[in-house]
Amino acid sequence: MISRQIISEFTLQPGTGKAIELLKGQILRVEQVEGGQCADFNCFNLHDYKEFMHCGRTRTVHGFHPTKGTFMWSAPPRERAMLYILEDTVGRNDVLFPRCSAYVYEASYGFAVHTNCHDIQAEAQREYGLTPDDVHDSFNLFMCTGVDADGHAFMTRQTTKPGDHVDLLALMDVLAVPNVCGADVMKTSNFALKPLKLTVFTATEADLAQVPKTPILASQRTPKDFRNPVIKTDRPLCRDPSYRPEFPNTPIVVSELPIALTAEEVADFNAVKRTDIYGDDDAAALRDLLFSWWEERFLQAHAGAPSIETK
Amino acid sequence: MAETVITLRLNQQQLELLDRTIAQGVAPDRVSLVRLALREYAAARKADGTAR
Repeated sequence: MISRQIISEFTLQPGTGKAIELLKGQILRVEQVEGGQCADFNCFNLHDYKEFMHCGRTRTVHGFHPTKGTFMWSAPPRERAMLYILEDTVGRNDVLFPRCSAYVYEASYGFAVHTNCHDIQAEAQREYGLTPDDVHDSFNLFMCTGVDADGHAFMTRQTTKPGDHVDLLALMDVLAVPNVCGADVMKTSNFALKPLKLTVFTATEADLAQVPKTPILASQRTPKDFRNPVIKTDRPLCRDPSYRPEFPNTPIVVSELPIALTAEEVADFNAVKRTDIYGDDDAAALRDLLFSWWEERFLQAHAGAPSIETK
Repeated sequence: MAETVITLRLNQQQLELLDRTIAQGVAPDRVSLVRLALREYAAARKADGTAR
């Protein structure tokens, strides 16, 4: 296929959202109509809603402002690339802020009722049988945010123009749920609510060829791997009397490994060991050095983040 | 040559990572790997002028 085929078009009115079945190989374009509008976004595996997009995992891999060339990942233990950001004409998205909610507008602004991303998402997701508790942390398209010096996230105005867009390519069948952010008394969308245009395309071969390969690992588990694969359908939590813990790799067993160091090595060690943390505990300082060295030499990703390189 | 012995305390997961690294041919055994780590880590900091 040489050019993208339009499957559907939809205008998302202020105060609303839309759940869209986006099949593998299809692209959802979220586009500015007037400019200056934030879109919140949720995403679920269309065939298993318990797999959903996870901002925590996504920001660990791609940073606080994922843009063109990054993925939206599902939560552990699935941890699969659900969507690929194929195009982003602005390059300013957010995975720091949660969705705004009715509580925010009541507590901070005194509104009994106000458009808010949680309730808009919940209403859009209700079309597919989901409940308000199923709304998950939001990927905020076109939202201009940062972290200030004292560690608080902040939001500010955006500079998007009509026609600016983000193209999301589905790597699996998903329920994609964008909504027009309900914040008209914040800087998020420049103090106004505007429509957004949604277009679903069929990806071309050239689109698909842009997607980097990601690892396929045994740790990307699905319900067939779960000790309890049954979705709980009642609300109270009751202890299972037959439960026996099966934590992996337990018990943790510590072994001793004596390391004989020459005088020169001791001098090297004394020059770099972290006495500020470990004091006179040389064994702990050497263990820190050992694994710090390992991270520097062998780790492909940021420490604590999964590598998405394929070997 | 005077030697100083430092006894590392490592759990089975940490040892597994060392052993997989050894299996790549980085060092012949666990002790050698730790000493290599010390030399390389210290040399890198000498090179960039930082002790930590």
